[in-house]
Amino acid sequence: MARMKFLCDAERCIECNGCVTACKQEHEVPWGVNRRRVVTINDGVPGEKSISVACMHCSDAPCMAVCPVDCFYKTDEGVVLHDKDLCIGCGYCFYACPFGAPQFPQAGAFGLRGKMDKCTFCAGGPEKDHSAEEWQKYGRNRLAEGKLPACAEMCSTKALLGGDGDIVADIYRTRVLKRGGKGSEAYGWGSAYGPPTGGAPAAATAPKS
Amino acid sequence: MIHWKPLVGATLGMMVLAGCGESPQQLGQATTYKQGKYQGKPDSRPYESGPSSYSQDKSWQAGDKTGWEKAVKTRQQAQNEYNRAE
Amino acid sequence: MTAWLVAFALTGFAGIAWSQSQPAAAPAPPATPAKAAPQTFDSVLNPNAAEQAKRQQAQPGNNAPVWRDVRSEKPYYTTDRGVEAGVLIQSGGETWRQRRNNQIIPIGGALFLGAVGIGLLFYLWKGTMKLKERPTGRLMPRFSGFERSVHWTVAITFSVLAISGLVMLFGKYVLLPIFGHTLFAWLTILLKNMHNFVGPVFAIAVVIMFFTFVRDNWPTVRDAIWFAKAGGLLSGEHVPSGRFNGGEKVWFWIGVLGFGVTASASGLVLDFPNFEQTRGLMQLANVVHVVSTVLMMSMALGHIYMGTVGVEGAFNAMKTGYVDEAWAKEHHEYWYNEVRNVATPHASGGPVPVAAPQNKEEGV
Repeated sequence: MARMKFLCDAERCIECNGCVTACKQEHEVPWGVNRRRVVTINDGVPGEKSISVACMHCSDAPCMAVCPVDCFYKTDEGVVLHDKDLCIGCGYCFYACPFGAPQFPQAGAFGLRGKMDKCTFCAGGPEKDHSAEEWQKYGRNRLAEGKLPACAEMCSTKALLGGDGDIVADIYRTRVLKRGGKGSEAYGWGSAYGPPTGGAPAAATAPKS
Repeated sequence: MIHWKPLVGATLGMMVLAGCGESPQQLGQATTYKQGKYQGKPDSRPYESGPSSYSQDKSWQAGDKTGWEKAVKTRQQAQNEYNRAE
Repeated sequence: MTAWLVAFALTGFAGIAWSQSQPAAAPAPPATPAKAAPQTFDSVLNPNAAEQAKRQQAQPGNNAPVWRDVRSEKPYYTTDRGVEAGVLIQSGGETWRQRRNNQIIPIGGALFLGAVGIGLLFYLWKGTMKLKERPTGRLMPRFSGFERSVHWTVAITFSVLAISGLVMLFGKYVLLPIFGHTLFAWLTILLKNMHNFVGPVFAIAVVIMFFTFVRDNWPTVRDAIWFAKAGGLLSGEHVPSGRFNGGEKVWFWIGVLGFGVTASASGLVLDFPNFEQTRGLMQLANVVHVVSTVLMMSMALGHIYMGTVGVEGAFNAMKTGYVDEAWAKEHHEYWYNEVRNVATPHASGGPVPVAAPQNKEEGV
């Protein structure tokens, strides 16, 4: 199986925030934390485009590279997960991430950071699958149930695709061809997955050399 | 006369520091799975526990890797609206 | 001292003269309406909006202006109330990561280990500098109780911050392979919280320390001579100095004031993330913090070395507040003479106050 990827089609996203709501309700995310958010450029004027953003589960993940206690790990499916028991709440992953995915619930006075929380690609965490501990710390483990991220699965316009990267690319390629080869850029792919390989959607965001 | 001990010490120190770099993270280079642990952190793989009791899809069993992959890929086709509409 | 005052005064006059020679200030900008800064980048003000509207008419599907906005790091509209939630891609993080992982950690580690190595080699070469003359048994007050309290507040908070900081910076490569993830994370959580709470205490203590010791750390011409002879450290020659010698003054101005204030200021930016400071600022603050603290820790090793094993009697001075007259004459002769000339009772060899500790080496 190829690695898991997210893709948000800016041509289709209608800023309904359904993905945000689905994520919040599926995982009962703590107050003050949004694992997914929708950002709208040119809001309310002609040329408006919206993009849904969460952790992109990068190939060369900056959060993983800077964590002082090495609490991150990458699964066989390319999903970047972290161990909240190890997290010290230093905020370095938040500094390093280009997408603003890692977030910290306030754990005390003066903005003291608690355990980092971020999108898990609905793959839970290190605890036993489907256990109460896993649910409390990381939310539901849909991947272990043979399901895919709730945000992508319930996206009404199918702007947000999530799952096996090859299938995501296939679906997107078909779509771009059907609409006349237009709007093939995919938000964040350059930053998250590196230079495009054969068959992958064009990255609208050039990777930094 | 050359002071060998400081030189050897400095060289060894630099060699030790060379370890203070980044380790590779790309799939295939970094995803090591040993006895229930990814890169030192405990976690099982998604196909090992099987569908939960309230899951509708019973096409695969716990530990059935190919079955799980097939179930996920089949399910992902629900995101392909051209498949559904045509 | 006088020369410095004159120079200081001249600088002040020059500054006033310069400011008066400036042309009259430009008319004040029109007063901005009193309202909070907009949370999001206004679509109406976005020049790319009109361009995108035109572009998607002319070439449907071509969203180049929008993709430029994506990389612009401006906060666009979002219902998420988080800080910088409207920013789509922040590029500074990657730069910060490369700096930290590929430059700061290896170079900083080499610098710190190098400082430790130099200290060890120097100790093996020179050993403890013993008093050349027999102690007289007459004690002189060197540090008041307040001065010692300030010194040890800074010293203890510094040590806590240095150890926890070193673990957070290098522990992943040094301790983690030995301790394993669980124990190392437990230790680092503890140290990180200590770092966060002890940090502000250090910041305040450093400021108090500056005003406590600045008077006797003012650079003088004598220090130039001291530096020219490297303090007699290598030659063993006797170089007289005031209450603090040139090396101590360098540590005071560069170490305590320079690095101490830089590290405190950047640390406070990182310590309180609830003021909506941006990631870009925190990335910069982190680099400044780590660079200044690694340099400060390397320098502190020299200070700690001289204050403990390097010089006989130096540690007791800060521990008890008193030094032997022989020690004072040998290490700080100008200060010794000044104190004697002031002719306070016990400084001139009179009766030592009852509270003063007895010199253990008396009668050796």
